[in-house]
Amino acid sequence: MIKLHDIRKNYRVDNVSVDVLKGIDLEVEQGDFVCILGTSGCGKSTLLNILGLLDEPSSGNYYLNGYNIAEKTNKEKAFIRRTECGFVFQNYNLITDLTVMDNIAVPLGYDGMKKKEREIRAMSLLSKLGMEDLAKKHPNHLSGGEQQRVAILRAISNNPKFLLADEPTGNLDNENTIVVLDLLKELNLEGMTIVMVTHDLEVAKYASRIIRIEDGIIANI
Amino acid sequence: MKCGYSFYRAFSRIRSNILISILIVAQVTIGISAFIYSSNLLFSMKEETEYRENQVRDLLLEITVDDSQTRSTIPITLGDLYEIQNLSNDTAFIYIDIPQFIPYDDTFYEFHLVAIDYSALDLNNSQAYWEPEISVPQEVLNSVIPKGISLKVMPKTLETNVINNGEKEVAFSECIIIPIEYMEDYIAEISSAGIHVEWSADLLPNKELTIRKIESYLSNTHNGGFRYRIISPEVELDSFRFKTDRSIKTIESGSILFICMYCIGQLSAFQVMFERRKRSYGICLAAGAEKSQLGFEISIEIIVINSVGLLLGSVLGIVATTKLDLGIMPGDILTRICPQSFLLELVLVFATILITIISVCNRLGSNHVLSMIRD
Repeated sequence: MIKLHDIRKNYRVDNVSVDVLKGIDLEVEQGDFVCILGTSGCGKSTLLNILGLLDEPSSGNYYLNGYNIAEKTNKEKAFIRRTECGFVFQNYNLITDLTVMDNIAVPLGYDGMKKKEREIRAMSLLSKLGMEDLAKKHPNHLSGGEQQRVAILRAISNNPKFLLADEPTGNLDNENTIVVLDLLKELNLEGMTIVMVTHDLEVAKYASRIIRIEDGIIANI
Repeated sequence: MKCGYSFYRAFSRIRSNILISILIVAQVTIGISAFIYSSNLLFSMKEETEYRENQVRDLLLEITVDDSQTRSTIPITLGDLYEIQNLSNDTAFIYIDIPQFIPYDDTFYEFHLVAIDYSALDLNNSQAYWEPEISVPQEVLNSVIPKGISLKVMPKTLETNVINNGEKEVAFSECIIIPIEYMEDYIAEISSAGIHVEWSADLLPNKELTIRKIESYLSNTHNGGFRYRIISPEVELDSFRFKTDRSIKTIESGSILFICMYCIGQLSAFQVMFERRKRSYGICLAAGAEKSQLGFEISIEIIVINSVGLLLGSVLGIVATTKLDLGIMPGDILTRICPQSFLLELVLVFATILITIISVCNRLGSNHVLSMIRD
């Protein structure tokens, strides 16, 4: 499903080239729950951003379902982000001026779904987690755990094939961490491919596969 | 492109930033109304100048009441008018407008009785003429015309001739014309404003001398009470020009200032809004929005806010044009609502909208999704 070949990423900082990823080769199969584990600054979030088409590699090839992403136009990449992958951020990244229901429906709206259908879909997702009463609330009235669950619902609202989660429990307490990880596990059991980034080994244990990254390269799988 | 959701998001953004939206609309409204008002002043002045320049009869007798003197009962007599024709070698066009308000059958009929020098129009002195469109009963018409003359329908050619001479005041609609010889039958109803004596400067022999002769003749004959002056509206306008131009330029400068504020304000307001919403746009991009969809949303928001401002500004501009008198326009010149002002306004708003959309969308295009989310 996902195949990375010799992915490299470097940034220029003060005219000095900094290599963040130094040749990543990785394959993720349908239904995997992969955790990318590493210390801060090792390049794990950069790798996830490349997987989520939020960033581009400096070199190397990224194949998704057999297609080379480098050959896709911006419009096609937006379509993939909208329909094939969901992204969960550490700081939730919910839109504060939208209600919970509208936040969940953002990918659906940009995909052209009608308002009524969007609302039905958002409500059915909320009801799965018993959060229907939060539908009309704004994100800043929710707890961190609730916000992250809403962010996950937004990421899966369009039934994507895979979910990318960047330190999804990084801002949560233990109780909410377990709730969010259980939710991810449940989604994986329902067949969704999940790639999660974390620096916490306890969190990583929820995954079926752990990939350790050190200094921009895969240290062990 | 899926447009429905973009409309929904644009309007929800306006709603969630309602105070800022109202402030921008207010700014557009003030800018546009000031622009329309000053443009209407400018165009009205221009139209008036052109009108006066194109007048065939470009000299007219102005009679004003002299409050410092004991007034005689009538500002002009039939004898005066004969003498004026004599002094100006029969080149004067003379008519006296006598408004009529006649009650008849529980109705008030309002029309004009115009005593006119028939010699200029080649008409029969024993006839009064009425304009066929006039909606006044025949009995009422017969009651106001002098005894001994009959009433006849006004020839079409007369109406055409007079209008072609550039005479606006005597619109031969809703009026009856009678020979000037009968004017003294209506002495009590004649006001100085209703007396019209006009010349074409080109036809007046020894213009300056004749003007002085007529003015001194009238002043001497009436021995005070009224002031008589032969003026050229075109020259009069020129004498006001400096003061008027200066005032209009002040308004115009103010309007340009407002317009600049409007344009720069628009650009900066939407740039600031873009900065504030950058993260939200980034999140939408990460969730699968296309930049073109976000650009469309931004465009809708800019167009809606400007359109509301345009509408309110136009209404306020019309109200200012018709109701606000800053004492800028000389004398009797009315500030008109000129279509050119609205055309210019549309061009201006369209250009501002376009520049704002291009500049904001350009920033959207040049920003990377990750940098937007991290902001």
